Amino acid sequence: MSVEIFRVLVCVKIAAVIDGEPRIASDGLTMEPQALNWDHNEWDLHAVEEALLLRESIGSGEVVVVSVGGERAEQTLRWCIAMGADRGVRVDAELFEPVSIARCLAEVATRESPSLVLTGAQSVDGMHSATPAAMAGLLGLTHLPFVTEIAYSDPTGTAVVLRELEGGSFERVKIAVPAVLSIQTGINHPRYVTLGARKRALASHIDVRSVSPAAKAASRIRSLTTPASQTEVQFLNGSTTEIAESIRKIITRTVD
Amino acid sequence: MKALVVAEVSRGEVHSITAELISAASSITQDITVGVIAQQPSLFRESITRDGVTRILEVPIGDAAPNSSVYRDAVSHLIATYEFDLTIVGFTNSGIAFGAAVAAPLDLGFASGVTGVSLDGNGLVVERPVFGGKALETLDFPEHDRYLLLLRQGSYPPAVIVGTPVIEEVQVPLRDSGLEHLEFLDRETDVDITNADFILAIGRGVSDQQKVAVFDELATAMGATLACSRPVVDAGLLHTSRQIGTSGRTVRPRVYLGFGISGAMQHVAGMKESELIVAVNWDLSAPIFSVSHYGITADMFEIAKELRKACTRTGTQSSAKNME
Repeated sequence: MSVEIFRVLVCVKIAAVIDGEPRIASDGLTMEPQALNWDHNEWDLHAVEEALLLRESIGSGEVVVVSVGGERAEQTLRWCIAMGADRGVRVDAELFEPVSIARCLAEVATRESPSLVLTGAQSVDGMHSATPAAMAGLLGLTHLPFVTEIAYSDPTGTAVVLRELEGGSFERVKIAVPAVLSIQTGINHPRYVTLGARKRALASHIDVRSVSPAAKAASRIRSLTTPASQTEVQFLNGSTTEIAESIRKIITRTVD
Repeated sequence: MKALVVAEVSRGEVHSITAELISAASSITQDITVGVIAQQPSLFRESITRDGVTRILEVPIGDAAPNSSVYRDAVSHLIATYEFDLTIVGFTNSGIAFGAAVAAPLDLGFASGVTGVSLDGNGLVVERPVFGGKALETLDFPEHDRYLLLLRQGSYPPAVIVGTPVIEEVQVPLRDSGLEHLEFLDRETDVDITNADFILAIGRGVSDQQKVAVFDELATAMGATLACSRPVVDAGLLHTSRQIGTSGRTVRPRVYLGFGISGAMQHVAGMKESELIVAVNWDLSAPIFSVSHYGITADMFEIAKELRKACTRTGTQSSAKNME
């Protein structure tokens, strides 16, 4: 890819959270819509914040946010624009399979020629943690997941990142750019968005693109169920005082 | 079905998930090859020689460090050369870095974060948790006959060490990886929660220092070691050495008492072997209750207040060892 200005492409999405009981729809394949609450995918906001910080430290550049989804996805795109992203792109497709999503995002990346592609390391609904690596594979770019620090240096064509490993360790790596990095929480604190900024973002034009004839999805959902419990949990009832006393007794019994 | 298990080697050791990947593969096929991609693959032969493994492919990578690009290129080459039907990779920071990068360009059937695999008359079927663990998705791959899966740790028992697999060395062409290792950083430890007999863990709802202090005080009164889930560390409220989970520590205390812990998979992976699990959470459907022995759906601050009183009333604290 040829890169003229510093451009970060941040892939974001609105994610479905179940606050109460999960309720499977009658089709046995999806969740009852009423059981779902939608909110910006938390990891993606950290990715947007990191892009904005990079643009600020470099002094110039463009932050473009992209999402694959229906109209609902524009809520998150507009939130990101309110945070400071320059423009938003929506690929009009409701997809939940990560490789299919990555194909759409890779197409956008090819057109945008970014210096860096950032996205959140995971999502609370799909829980694949696969879209970033799939994108990197399709684009032929290097990839590191769970990044907690980025130092970008354009003249050298590299960036130095800190990536999280299991068990509380980290690895510092020099990576050739453009690259795809997935962002872990704890890297930054996504900035506060003012009501004024949100109102202005409502008026922003979002570039809506359609999907090219899709390659087949990499998997098919056969059924959605609620998982069996691993333990026979016993719920303690009674007044708060009674419950506290029960807890104290149960623990003392085990420990002594 | 010809299966390739990609061994995870990092910092001179074979990750414990590798033995579980072998076990998972064994549940559906007897033709299992383990691919070992490392500077000196033969060093790991013994710990890879496990029940079900018929062949070990040793892929020496010279001076290259086994990074995500090297794994991606090596695994892609092995799949193309040996025509494996199924490739199984660990759902770890290492596997996540290259698994889908192999699967997408090769147009393989793909699933990540998988907890169960099986075969039915039509082909591969997998299970994976979704919606924060509150639901389970069953997937199949009607349009594919080659697949790549990332399997979650703790889904299968480790395969035992036994057998005499065929050993083959394979040279794999590697490009410049675009990655250069600079250093490892092992965070210094403030407290070692892995030795605690009694852990009191707090979650996201404990959102400021004052609230943390309430539970810190309760933990002391009960003789417990204070620990937490990731969001509490991200918020800067507790030191990372108190974090339980895949990016923190794994604990096996006699008692785990959780307040406001939802039971996100990354956290549960770090505490589900606890002997007694008691969880307090407003949300009746919080995934923590599916690994708990006792559950309380009540306000955690109210319960904490009453527990504190209960401990004072009895005039004793629990005699749990509190090793700090």
